[in-house]
Amino acid sequence: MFGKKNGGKKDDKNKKPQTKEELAESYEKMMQDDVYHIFGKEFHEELRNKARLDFQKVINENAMFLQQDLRLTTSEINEYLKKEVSGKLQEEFAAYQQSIRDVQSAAVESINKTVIEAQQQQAALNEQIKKEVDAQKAQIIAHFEENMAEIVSHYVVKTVGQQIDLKDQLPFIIREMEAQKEDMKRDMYL
Amino acid sequence: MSKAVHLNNEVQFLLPPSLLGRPDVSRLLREVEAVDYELETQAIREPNKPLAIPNMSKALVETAQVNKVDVADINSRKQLIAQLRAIKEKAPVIHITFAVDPDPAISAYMAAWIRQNLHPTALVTVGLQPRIVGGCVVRTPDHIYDFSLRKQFLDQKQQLVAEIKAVVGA
Repeated sequence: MFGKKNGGKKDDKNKKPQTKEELAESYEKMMQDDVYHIFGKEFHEELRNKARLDFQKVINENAMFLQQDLRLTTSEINEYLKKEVSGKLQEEFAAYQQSIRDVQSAAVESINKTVIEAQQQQAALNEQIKKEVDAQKAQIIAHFEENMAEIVSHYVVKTVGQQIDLKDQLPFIIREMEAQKEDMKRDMYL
Repeated sequence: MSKAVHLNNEVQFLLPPSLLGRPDVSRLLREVEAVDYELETQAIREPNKPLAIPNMSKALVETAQVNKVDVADINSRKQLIAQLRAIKEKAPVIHITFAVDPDPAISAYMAAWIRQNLHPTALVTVGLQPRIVGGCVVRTPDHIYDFSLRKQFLDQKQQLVAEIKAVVGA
């Protein structure tokens, strides 16, 4: 387009301006060459296209920036969330472990206490049983001792009661009576 | 004629060993009274004839012998009756309990010993108690003297228990 109007400078005209300064310079040069050119439809269309391209470019750049920001933000959010969740989880786990340890400790303490009480009760029970057994044993022995003479007497009567000759006992009887003779004599004269 | 029939302690009346308790004395007293009645009757009916002594029991014969009593003499008989009545009413009674029923010889022996050592006219009654095992229990008017084997067992109970404990190892 510009090349058609500036045939002598074909290479410059075919060369597409790259920067704003180059573009402004090219427009300024065009105005100097042909001032009416800027009122033409082609120029308007060219500007429109140029603006559309610039706008498209800006949009694309912004979209790219936005996308980058979005990715960065997402990444940061992910990182933050990860960190927060991990921290929270760590805290919760720590609290959970602490509560488990507390419960475990309480359970162990309770079990130990129960074991100690059971041992004490067992000891007391053993002591009581021992006392009762000893008392019963002593009672049986006392009863046995108390009735020993009766048992022996009964045994002797059953065994040899009818075979003991009274005549054989006379010396013993007389000896015993001789020992008590004076007392018995006194009784007879009361 | 004997002068033994007195309880005034000048000459002591003696009971024969075969005469034990009050029933024996009562029986003897009845017999003596019967003999006395018989002889008195004879003397009244036929005063000039010698008296025919009726048959007497062994106890009466022994009593007459040990006390040298002439049964034919009325005074002696009256004194004998009086002595027997006094004994029946006043003589002390001693009760002897044996584990087995003693034969008469044992009872007589015990009665003789008692009358010789304790009281000359003591009456003896005999009882039976198998629980005493052996020996005897003598009950005087004031005391009970336990000479039984059971008492010996009771007295030796501690020793018996000690020996049993020694054997058991308690």
